[in-house]
Amino acid sequence: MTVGGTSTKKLVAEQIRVHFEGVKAVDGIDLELEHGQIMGLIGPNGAGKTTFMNAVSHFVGRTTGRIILDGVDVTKLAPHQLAARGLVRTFQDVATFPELTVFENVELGALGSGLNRRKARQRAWELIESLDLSHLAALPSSALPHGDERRVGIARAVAVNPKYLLLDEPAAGLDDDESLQLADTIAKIRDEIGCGVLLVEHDMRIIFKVCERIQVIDFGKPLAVGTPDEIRNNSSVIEAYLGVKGAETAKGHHSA
Amino acid sequence: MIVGSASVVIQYILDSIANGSLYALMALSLSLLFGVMGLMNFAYGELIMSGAFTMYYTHSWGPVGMIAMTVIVVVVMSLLMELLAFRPLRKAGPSTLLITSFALSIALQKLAYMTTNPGIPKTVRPYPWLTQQFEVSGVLMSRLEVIIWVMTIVLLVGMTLLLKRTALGIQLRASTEDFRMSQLVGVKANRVISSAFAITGLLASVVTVLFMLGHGDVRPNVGQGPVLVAFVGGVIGGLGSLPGAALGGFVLGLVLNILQATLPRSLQGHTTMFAFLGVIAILVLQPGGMIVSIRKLRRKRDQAAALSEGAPS
Amino acid sequence: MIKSFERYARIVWTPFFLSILLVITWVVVELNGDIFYQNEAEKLFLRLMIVIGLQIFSGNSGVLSFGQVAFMAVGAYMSALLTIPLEIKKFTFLSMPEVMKSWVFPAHLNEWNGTTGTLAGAGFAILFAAVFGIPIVRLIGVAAGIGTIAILVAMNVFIQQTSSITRGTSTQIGVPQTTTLGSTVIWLVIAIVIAYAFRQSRLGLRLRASRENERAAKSVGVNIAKERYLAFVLSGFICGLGGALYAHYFISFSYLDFYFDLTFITIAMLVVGGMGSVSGGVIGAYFLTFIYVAFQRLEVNGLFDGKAPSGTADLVLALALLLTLIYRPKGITGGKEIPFPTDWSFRWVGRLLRGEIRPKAHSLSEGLKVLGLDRLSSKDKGQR
Repeated sequence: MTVGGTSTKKLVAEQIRVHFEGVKAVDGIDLELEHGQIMGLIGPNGAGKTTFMNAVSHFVGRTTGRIILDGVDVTKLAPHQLAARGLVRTFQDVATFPELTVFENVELGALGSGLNRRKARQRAWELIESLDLSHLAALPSSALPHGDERRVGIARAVAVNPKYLLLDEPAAGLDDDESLQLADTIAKIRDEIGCGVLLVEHDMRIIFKVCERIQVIDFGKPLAVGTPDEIRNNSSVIEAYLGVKGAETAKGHHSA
Repeated sequence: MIVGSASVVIQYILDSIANGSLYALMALSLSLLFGVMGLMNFAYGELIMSGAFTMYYTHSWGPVGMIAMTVIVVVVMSLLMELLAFRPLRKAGPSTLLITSFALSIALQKLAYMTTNPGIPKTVRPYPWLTQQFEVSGVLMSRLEVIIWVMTIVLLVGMTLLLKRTALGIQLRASTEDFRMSQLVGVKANRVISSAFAITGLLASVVTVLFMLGHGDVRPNVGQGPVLVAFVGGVIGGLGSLPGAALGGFVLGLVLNILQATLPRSLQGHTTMFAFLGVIAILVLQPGGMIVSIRKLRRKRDQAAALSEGAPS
Repeated sequence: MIKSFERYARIVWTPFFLSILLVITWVVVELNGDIFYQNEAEKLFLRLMIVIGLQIFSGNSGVLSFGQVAFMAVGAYMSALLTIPLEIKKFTFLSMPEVMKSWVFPAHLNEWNGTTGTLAGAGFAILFAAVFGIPIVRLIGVAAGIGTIAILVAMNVFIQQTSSITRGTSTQIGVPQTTTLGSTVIWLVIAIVIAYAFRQSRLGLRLRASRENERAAKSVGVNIAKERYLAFVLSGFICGLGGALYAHYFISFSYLDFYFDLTFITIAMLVVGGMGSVSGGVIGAYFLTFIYVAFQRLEVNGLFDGKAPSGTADLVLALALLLTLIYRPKGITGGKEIPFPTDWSFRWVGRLLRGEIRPKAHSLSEGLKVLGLDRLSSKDKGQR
């Protein structure tokens, strides 16, 4: 893992603001995601997490802000250009290509990393097998159960060969077992391709299980950044966001 | 000859307004439907066509009977269109609705071919006292032109009052802003959409009467030209907004007249071509046109998404 | 051995099957010898050419174009200009601007039975598509619809009004008749192979992905405007080809041949057959031609002493399109290609049947999603 501020191997977002007609959905958030690091982005409902992720991946226009990827200013690049440079994201609503097969979905990801057709297919197969999706490869992705579809979405993103992977609530709609498996999958992805991961997630068990750093935002503004332990013990976080119930979660109890 | 050239300018302006008035009324009704249900109604031309045939067949009833019947037929046609073709596709996207209206337009044209014996040329016999031009201090005008101006003003004022002052108008405006949201707050979709079609029909019938009294020929495809022009007007003004569409119609009337006056003779026939090339340019570049209204809707949706982001799971 | 044979057989299966269908049609019509059916077959083939051109762009991208017939017109007019004998041109294009005269008059591209002229016409269609494609690929939904209609109308007005180059409202004189049923079939087979290869290619796959979900396509690095542009230009080429062939078969043509009627019928064919696949275009073209000719015979010959009024065939076509949009928006094929024979199983039939009997209301939105039509205007995310 790369450590230290001097390294350029990181994704930096500076002073991201997204204002819609006076509503400040995101208002001055910074982010530093190192290569090989898993960072959690949490905050209460409506805190601006997804909007922030949309702003970083340029799926919404930013009011202000700069994005620097491995030392290169990529603020002006379009989403597809960012993807080709290794800034890859998933979506809360999964957003697979419904009529294309699982295989084609993942193949598209591999094509996005610049591989030729043959190599892309090879890589798609490897990923599908490693994520245990091979028995579903020929089905259209719309025919899949929700949990499998989510894994296809992640496989597709991983196939793009991300340097930085932004996961938007990957566990939404999954049951307990699936959620825990997902946490393992995320760690495995990081270990294997060494990318940085930004994880937006409601399920605190996953956040505290896999994240090395956690950033908390509220009302579109930064609230705290730190290790999981620091966040657990940060009084303003507990008050503003976690509350009594959340504090229990942080100690490892089950939450709703 | 200062007086002369001034009257030439006035002449142009008055002619432009007379043309533009009809475009404005058409663009306005197209815009209303586009706002309420995302429909660019190609078959609007066939409302005009059905009105034109009604005028032809009821001409002997005298002007009052003819106009009354035309209004009834066109409004009923408009409501039937909604009921038979567009209601089953309520949930479809704008592109599907556009193809549907295209198919409907062709179907109605062919139906007219089949039932009206196109071998015999048909004209709505003009009323000479309407179209005869007279001179007012160097400017030529006809009673029909005056009637067009008056009717347009009456209808625009009427539409404004309807939209601003009545419950239906508020529901309509709410629906053009955000259809789904307005349904959530209790606006009845069927009622609003039917009303929009009825209003469209009413405007179309007025346009038909005014248009046919000037250009008498009745053909099954008589509506195609006007509807294409109305598309252009709507795009210029921005189809999302009702005042924009009306304004767009007037602007188009003016632009076409200016082109007609300034283009060299060899290019005068190409006026329409330039108008349509202009449409493509506006669609891509013009921030005041249709795209802006779509973007505005999109921004609103993004905003809503951002606000409800991370809804309880 | 068998396995690898099957792999290759699968790759060529769809274009092979469709080509066989065309060749059989050609042979049957040729043997029959009735000029009426020969003309209908030629019309079918040339419309199918446009349908295939339309499928390449609209089918893969989901952006419906009403303007492809304009590129057909370019192909027809340019190919005609470059092949009409000089002796005739001298009289019919007296007022042509000198800049054009200098290269149009000496041109007599009749090599290989007019192939060079046909290709030259298609080449000009590419140029036009390359210019108009720039704005069109940036439009979505209704805006794209109106934009492409604008192309069609502008082209029509241009042809009508620029009589020095196009003879305006008069028909063409002296176009050599070099297209035959056979040569049309050959070109059509080439077009089908191109369209199918494009659909299956990396480009086609990326374009289909953008049709299904623009956001997701961007997230895997698809440059939507660029992919659409390439499809638009390729589509322009196929349509131009169709136009050039049209010119050299129905030698006297005019501006009226390339307008809303043809646009309507080709869109109807593609939508009824299923926009998503090349097979859909072919099947739709055959299906509607069959219906059209049947009703046309009814108009001419009548049934039980009564003749159907003229126009019935067109009306039936429009109704077929309306009914398809309402009840089976994915079209007959559901956007799928003809399956390989060993895949012809009961389950496939079952799925097809289920598709047909599914309740309309909610399957509709689903179906539109497949067509990619539901999100075109409503969901685009601004910057490309």
